[in-house]
Amino acid sequence: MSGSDAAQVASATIFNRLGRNPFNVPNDQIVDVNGNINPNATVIAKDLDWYDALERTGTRESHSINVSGGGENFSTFFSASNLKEKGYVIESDYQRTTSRLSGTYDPTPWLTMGGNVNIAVEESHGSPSRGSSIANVFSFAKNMGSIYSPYLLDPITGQYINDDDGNRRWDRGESISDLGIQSRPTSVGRNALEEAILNNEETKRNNFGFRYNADLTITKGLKFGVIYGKDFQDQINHSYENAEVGDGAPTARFEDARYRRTVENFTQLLSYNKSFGLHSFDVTLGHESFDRHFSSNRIFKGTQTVAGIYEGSNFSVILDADGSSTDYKLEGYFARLNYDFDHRYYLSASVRRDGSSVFTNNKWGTFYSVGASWRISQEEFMKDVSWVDNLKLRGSYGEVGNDQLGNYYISQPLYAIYPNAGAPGIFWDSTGNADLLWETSESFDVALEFGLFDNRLTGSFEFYKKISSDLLYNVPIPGSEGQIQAPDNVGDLYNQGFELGLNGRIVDTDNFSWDLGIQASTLKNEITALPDPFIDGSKRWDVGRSRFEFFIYDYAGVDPANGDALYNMYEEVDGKVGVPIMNPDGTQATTNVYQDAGKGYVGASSVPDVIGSISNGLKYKNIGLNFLFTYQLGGDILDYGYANMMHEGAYGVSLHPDALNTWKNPGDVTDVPRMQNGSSNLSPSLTSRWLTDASFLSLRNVTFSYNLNDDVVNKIGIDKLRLFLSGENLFIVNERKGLDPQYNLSGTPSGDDYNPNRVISVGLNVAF
Amino acid sequence: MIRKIYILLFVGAMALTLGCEEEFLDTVPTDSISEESALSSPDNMELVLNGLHRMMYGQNQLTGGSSSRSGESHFIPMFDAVGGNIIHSSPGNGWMTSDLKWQSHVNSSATTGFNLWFQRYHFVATSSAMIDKIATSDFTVTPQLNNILGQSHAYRAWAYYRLITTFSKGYLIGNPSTDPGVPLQLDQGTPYTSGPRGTVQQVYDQMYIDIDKAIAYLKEASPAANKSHISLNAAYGIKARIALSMGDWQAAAENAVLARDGYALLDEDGWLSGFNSYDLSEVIWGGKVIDTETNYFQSYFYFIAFSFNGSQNRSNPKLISKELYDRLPDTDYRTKGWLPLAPNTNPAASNDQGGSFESDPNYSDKASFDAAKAEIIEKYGATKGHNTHPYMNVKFQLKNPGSIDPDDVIYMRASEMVLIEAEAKAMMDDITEAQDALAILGEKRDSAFDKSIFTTKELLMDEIKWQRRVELWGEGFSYHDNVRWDEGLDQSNSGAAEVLYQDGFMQPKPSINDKWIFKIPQQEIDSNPNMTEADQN
Repeated sequence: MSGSDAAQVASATIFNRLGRNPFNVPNDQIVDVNGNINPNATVIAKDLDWYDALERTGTRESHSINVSGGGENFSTFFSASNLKEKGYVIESDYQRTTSRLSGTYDPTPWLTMGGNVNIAVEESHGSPSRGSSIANVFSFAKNMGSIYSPYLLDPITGQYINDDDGNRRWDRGESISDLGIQSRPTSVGRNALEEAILNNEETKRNNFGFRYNADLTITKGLKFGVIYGKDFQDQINHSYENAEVGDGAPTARFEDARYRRTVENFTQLLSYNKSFGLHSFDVTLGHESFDRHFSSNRIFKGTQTVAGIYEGSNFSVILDADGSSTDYKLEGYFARLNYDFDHRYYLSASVRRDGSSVFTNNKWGTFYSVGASWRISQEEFMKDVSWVDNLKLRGSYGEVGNDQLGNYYISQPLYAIYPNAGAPGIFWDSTGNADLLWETSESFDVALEFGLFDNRLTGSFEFYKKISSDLLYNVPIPGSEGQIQAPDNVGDLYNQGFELGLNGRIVDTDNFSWDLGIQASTLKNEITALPDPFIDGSKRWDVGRSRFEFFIYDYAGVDPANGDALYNMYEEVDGKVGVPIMNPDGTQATTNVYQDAGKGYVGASSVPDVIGSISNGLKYKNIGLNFLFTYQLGGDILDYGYANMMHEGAYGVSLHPDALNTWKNPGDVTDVPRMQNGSSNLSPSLTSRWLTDASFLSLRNVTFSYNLNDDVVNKIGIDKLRLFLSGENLFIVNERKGLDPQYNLSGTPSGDDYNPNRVISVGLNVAF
Repeated sequence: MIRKIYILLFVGAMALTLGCEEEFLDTVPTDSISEESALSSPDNMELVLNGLHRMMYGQNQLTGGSSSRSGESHFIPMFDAVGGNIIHSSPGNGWMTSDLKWQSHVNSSATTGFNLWFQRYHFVATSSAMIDKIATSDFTVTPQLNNILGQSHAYRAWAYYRLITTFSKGYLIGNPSTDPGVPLQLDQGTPYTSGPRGTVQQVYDQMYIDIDKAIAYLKEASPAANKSHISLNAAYGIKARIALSMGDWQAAAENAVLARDGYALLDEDGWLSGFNSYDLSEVIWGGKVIDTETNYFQSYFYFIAFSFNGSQNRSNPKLISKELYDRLPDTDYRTKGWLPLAPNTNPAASNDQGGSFESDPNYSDKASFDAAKAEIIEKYGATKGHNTHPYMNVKFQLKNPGSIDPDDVIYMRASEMVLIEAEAKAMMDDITEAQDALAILGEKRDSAFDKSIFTTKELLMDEIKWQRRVELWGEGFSYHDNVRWDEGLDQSNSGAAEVLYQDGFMQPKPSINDKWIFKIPQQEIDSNPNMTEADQN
């Protein structure tokens, strides 16, 4: 076909490709041969707003009560709370009731006993986020082209088509010949919103636990104590997928998944403290054990008998049924020494030996810590410096172990159960690594804390360095090994930075005060040891690099001649990756085939330069106004959510307004390549094109409150009464609308999950 | 005093519970067993083999893989989408459109290519683990042990066959002694550095070693428990395929004959029964899928069958090429496997002829259009929501039409072996024996079949190619057949829509077009120290 024929056909058949025409012009006259919308076209489609159908104004109600009391030899405490939330997404709600009762008793002078019991009962409904599933309501609404309605619309009038009961019908994107409706090119046969309504998702969770303790005084200063606790979590999840639309069709299916988790802690402590003269010290020896048991089962059945019963017996075909348990255990021995001289010099040291069931050959690890602080303000020579209230220099070095790599049996090579047509079978599930050992986090910090001018200015300045040695990591291994990851203690890296905290009372008068707080911190990450560099997603781990540095295809803009996306080329030379390939004229070579370009370090990292917050507290008489900003400067995000909306022209998929800048004619200078359905070199996701500045300023919280005067509240028999109005997540300023820059530290948000929601609340605090 | 007694009692009691037993930190899972135990006895190794049998067709379980790439349930229809044999009538809900457009396998980051590579190498690793374990143990040689060894070697040969014919240049159109192969990765465990690509020839050599061992062991082995196991016949069949792909015609013909021994070709009723059961007489090797192990919407029949009740099927009936179908004589009952005059009911059909009698040139009034659709729906058990399309297939039919219930997956059947024999004989210029082999199938399918008209190698090969594309339609052979025959793609007369097919509409022949080689997955290049971008196809 010649160019003009192709344009003719393309404009004449655009309706066949897209399946819907929201305008009042015939299907073959929607656009002219140049792709411009018919000037006579106006939108007659009644409703094209998926978010309007998906979202609603949520509500949150919370109540709580605390009571404490006691006598000479005992004290008790009781609290209860209730939280009820209606989510901002249809069909979602959450309710939680908690209660706690505790008591401490001293039956004899040498014995103290006590304990507490707590219960939390949770219940939630609504479609889970569902990750990359089509049934994910967020991605469904986001990816749907803006010419499609959530509801069936009459192709001629654009009005809703109602069912016999007068309700709107959802558009599943399939053709309905009787109504003259043709299928949608994207997500045919699905409507995640309708599915969320017709499905039934319910989770009930009970948390309960108890904690008992006893302290015996053996002789003066020598104590023996035990603490025993056990926590239970029971969950029942019922998930019903309807018979009409989605993965449950055509017969509906149902999952009932339950688990019980118990966590038992038992600690024994022997401690001794003694003071003589200006010296005082205490020593503690202890032993503790931790035992986590998780037991779950699940049935999954299809073919429902009657509608509306969400229990296993209502479904007649077993699709899957299984159950299993996991155990995770820890044991530790420790010794701790604290010493202080004259409340000026403090020293502490500890050592602990921990054993973990996660490991096979190296269950035990030993970890030390030491710390010292000097309260300079307590020194004689500071007595006369009246404007210094507190000045303290502290430093510490401590080690803690980490045994977590996402699986309690990670060190064991395992074959998982996998039957073949009912005959028992197993398959090789994991490589294991019997030599795996504890990862050690060594933290070093030194800080200066101060309180000046009657503590009107307080703050701290701290340097920290956290070294992770023998880092636990699932290292990517070549697929030709039969698995693609193997756990290992891969190497060492550190994170270091400064933290600054300042709190000042700027104004302090009888009726008016203003408190200002500023927090700022920095982070630098560097890998210091790694035997074998490896690529993991958008990053490449190598010595001397940060694990947060992007290693991706390097977008070089658009070729004005033909609208191709260009990529800077890199190669591997003598084991060194990301070496630019140069043209004879000294510029970097480019290609329009991204996979021929090779990946390179593109000079971007997901780590911010500075992150922090600014808080303000204003008070005038009984009125208070608090607001909190959080901010980030620097750092980059690889915005997959944006990339998905800047595709090369998949039929029916939504586009970002930036797509208007797309290359159209030879000579166009733009940074958005041409659009061509099916051309995979135009907008691949792993390229520097989607790097987005992650800097932001967000108004996280504003609270306006009013305290009733004491004389007023006392008259009605209460101690204190406070009314407040608060708002959360009120606004955010950042590079791109809709982006949540804090999604993860790797800087790779997919744009299909809950965003922090805006909450406005009114409340009342009463104290008796 | 009393206080001291209390304290002693208390501390004593504590000490008892405190002294944790040695084994406190030894924990094991309940849904897995250790590798050591899995390989500790022939009985347990049978469990491992059962796992492989399930992985042949089941939803992918491998950590880091995609469940949707459900073994051969996915790869068979995928190869026929790329190879242009299964023609899609519309984009459907998107499944496999990037395959048929030739966007997926030319992309090193594509999910399908990666999962194919990963799964087949998983088969290599698992079978190697058993082979190595038996070699270093002193298990008594029994028919059971020979069965395990035989199947392990056969699986390794078959997995490499899948890999080398897909990720390297075709043996017959390239230079096997220098063309890059795929890593020969027969060792297990750390440091996980795999190996370099080596050459195509090296991999073929290993495949022959393995399949010959497999055949030797299986001759002395206990019989296959069912058709999901690799029987001696299936091992011969694998050898026949390997031999055919490398032009070892003699071996191909001999092994094809051995493979189909005892597996009678289907008769008309059998052929038209839907290819949904591995109990069919001519099935040599296949997977049986039961309700409790269903693949849901990731099953073979989801990607191919008309009456499966998924949005993929309702909106995208799969077609045979017009050119292939129209060559079927009326006397051939396979004409009933496709419906050339099914009304084009889908307004979104990619050929722009769908939606009503007005757009469908085969119909001129609404009544007959609607009646034709109703009749198909009724006869093949689909739902009102299913669309029909000219040349749609009913070769594949569900046991329970209109449902999403599972059906079996056929990997190898006797007709393929007959056609291998015929092709091998023809390539050896043995006209008479090629005619005879061809007649075994031809006469079974076509009451007027006349073998004597194929008097030259060229005429024979033309017929054999057509027979393979029709008889084995949808069974996953077309892509590799084209590589072996060095034939490009030209969908001009097939009924495929260029607007849908794009790059998959026309492709030059494999010997001059390296797009007929799947890209090595980026994951492999990124993590294999023996490979760099320069090793990419």
